[in-house]
Amino acid sequence: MADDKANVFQPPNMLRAKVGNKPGPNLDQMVAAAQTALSEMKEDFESWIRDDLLSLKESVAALHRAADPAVLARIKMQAHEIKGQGATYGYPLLTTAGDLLHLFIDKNPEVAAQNLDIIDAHVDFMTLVLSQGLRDQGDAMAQGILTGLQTAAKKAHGTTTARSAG
Amino acid sequence: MTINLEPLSILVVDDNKHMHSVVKAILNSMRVKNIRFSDNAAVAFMEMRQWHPDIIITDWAMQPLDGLDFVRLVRKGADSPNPYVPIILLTGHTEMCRVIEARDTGVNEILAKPISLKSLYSRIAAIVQSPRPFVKTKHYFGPCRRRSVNINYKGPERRTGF
Repeated sequence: MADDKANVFQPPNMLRAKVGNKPGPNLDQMVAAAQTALSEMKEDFESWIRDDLLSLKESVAALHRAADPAVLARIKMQAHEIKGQGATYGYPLLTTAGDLLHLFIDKNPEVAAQNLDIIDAHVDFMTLVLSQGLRDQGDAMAQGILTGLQTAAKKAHGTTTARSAG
Repeated sequence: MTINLEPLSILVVDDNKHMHSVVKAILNSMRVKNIRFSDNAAVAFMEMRQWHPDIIITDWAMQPLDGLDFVRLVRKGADSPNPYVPIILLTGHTEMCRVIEARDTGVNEILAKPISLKSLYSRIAAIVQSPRPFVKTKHYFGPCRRRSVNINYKGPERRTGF
């Protein structure tokens, strides 16, 4: 907008001076160090992701007991968290499933609340991934189930509904 | 040649404490040791008055204050300790509308989860080596949202300052 004049200025780069000219470690060395550190946390990851899934299951159980929009919002948030953590913890399929569940609720919470069986199916799939230790994103059975989840979600929402920005 | 990030101080804000461990492991691998963590953005904002991080890494999806609320506080809050501090937003939201929303709030860099050392290092390196200018308009305050500048542009939205 013409009436929204932009003043542009460059603050002094204090960080450049702070890091100085001494080179850091080789990037490959840093990557290797991170891989080692993260692999040492593997047992923690396993425990954390199971806790996350347990929390999600508790929320879904609460939603079965009473239709509460706040609980549904919590489930959406938990699905988003699992999306964010799954791959980090070595389960990229959980990232995909978390993403699908988050999208399913985000697209239309009312539709999601009327289709708890679809929410259950996402959670069941996540449970399967952990119980079977499915870490391969390309696992054929898993991909088949994910396709089924997408189809079910699409059918519930109808194909003409636009995705909301919320 | 990589940058020696060891002298930097970094504040990590994420309400998922497990992510603190993940980010710490990655930052430590870059030799960054001066790190503080907060699981509450409002508390982190208060802490910035006592401790002045060089860079903030914040998650988006947090409660009660989310990552973008936190960025608004830092950038535009009347009592902000440092409106210019570089901010990297961690997010699972990768849809374009979300990225634009984050950009328009004043983050320097956006980092999609899952994070890796290379992706985080590249964001920090960009902040240190090629900091973008700041822009102040009636509706926006933060790093320049343009990744390239057309110096031949003569239209009404021509900026002052260049």
